[in-house]
Amino acid sequence: MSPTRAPVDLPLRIVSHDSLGSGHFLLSLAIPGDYPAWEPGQFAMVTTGAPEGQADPLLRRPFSIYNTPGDPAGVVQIFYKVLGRGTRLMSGAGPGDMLRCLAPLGNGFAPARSPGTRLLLVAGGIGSASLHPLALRDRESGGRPLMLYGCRTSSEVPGITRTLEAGIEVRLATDDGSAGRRGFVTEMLDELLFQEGPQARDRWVICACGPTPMMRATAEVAARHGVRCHLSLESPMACGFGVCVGCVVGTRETPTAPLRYRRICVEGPVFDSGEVCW
Amino acid sequence: MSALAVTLGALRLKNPVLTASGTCGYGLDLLPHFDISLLGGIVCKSLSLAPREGNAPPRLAETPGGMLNSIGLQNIGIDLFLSEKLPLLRRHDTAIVANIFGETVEEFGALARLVDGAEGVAAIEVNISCPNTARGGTEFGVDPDATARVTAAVRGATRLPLIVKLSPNVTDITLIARAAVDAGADILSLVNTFFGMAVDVERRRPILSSGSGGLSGPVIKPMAVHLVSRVARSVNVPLIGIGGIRSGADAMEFILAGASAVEVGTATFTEPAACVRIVREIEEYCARHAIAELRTLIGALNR
Repeated sequence: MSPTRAPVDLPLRIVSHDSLGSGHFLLSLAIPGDYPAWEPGQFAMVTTGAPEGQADPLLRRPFSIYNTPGDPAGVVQIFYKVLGRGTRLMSGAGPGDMLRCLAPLGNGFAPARSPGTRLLLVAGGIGSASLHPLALRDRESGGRPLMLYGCRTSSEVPGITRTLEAGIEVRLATDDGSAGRRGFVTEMLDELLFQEGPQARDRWVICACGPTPMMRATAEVAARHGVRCHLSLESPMACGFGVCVGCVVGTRETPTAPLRYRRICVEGPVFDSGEVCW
Repeated sequence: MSALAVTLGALRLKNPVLTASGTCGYGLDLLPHFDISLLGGIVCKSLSLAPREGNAPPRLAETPGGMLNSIGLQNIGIDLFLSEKLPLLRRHDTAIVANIFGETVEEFGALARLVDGAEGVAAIEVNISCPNTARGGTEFGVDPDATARVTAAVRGATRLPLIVKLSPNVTDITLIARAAVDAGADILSLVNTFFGMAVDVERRRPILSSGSGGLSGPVIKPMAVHLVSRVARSVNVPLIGIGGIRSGADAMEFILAGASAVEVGTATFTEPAACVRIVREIEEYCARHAIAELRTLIGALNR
């Protein structure tokens, strides 16, 4: 779904900033009453420190918006994992501090679930952050979403703590078998679709978010089973609103069409898996 | 004449702040964020004769105090710009500068002719300094003779104010500057990005797909101010200063060093409305120092 309102760039006050363990943080930023609504899968560009900007690290970081508008009300939530210098700095900010936030950005997930189909959400690591609000939104509209969550090891299970608490059905896989079943989440996906045979294509719509190798594997599994698949892609970004043209992905509208580089921040982050060139 | 107005030969700007090429798309991408008529001008993303897809990703690498890019001049091509973007852009009361990029001298001339025939363009900026293309780009910008040939080709094709954008990746920038001016440049803009490279040591390979790219951001500002100051003392045409500007004070550094206007680039990435804030901060600077006309401060360093 295309965003209905233009993004706004505002300094926002941190209401809460909770550690959920193993470097996972849930950040809540207070928003004014007239803040634009957003769709699951849209994202925000957030400063990692002072709202007036800093020279180092220079760039904001892109984060999926974790909550749906109004749940909880009055905030934009960012669920993130400390992965580098920017997120480490950000994790030191506390309630009352201000971060500058440009949002909502990107296209978000298209709610293309036809009657009788279910959303199959394939999340890798912190990729769960963009699928969590989609699961909640889908359930609100009468769906029964199923999330397959994969991560390296049991310490990354905080990635789905809130999703489980919200009562969403989640199946877990870890690379090392320390929690859930052992193996890649894409193997779990393949098995699930294989068991259903040709009916799988009428039963599921896949929405996936995670590291690029996992996205590629998900696209291959989906194509093999003929299941519709939307991928939320990630990339380093400088601006997040289309002007730097730095975050592109190669796409083809049809297998024989010429390669086109499209901006993940504007034409994405969600792409139909069939059009992405790996 | 308002306090912030500046005149660069035949190019008149309501204030000295323009967007830098390649940092605002075709200007229209800024409209959700602010009223572009608040700016002195919009410099469009480099336009080539045919559309270009640009370089493979990764195209970005953040570095301390700056960033590397290797976009490779992805653009929609001159025809689509003139037919679809320019009509929307010229509705706004700001100077529209078309930045052009050719792989050959002839292409530069052809581009200038096309721009010259369009309505609503205030000036042409010639990009002879892109670090991210196999042909053209710095190939021209590092050589005084090639700079002169490109400049003369554009000069012969248009009467619009002609800006030549200089590369900092040269031994003596004043040689290139003089070559451009002697061949007919009305204005020089400087600097484009510095060559740079970042390595992912875990994977033992460059972060950018192209290996090296162009460095921009606050980290290059002192080098850019230095080069503007040098060029200001060696040629007699107006200059546009570019390089790491993200505040009114930064802009004033360039103006005091000899620039008549500035272009703001990377700052827009980190703050969409940075240009507007910078105009306001220059205004505040003038008020604080009781400066009636900003133009009196161009090159006005106390020595």
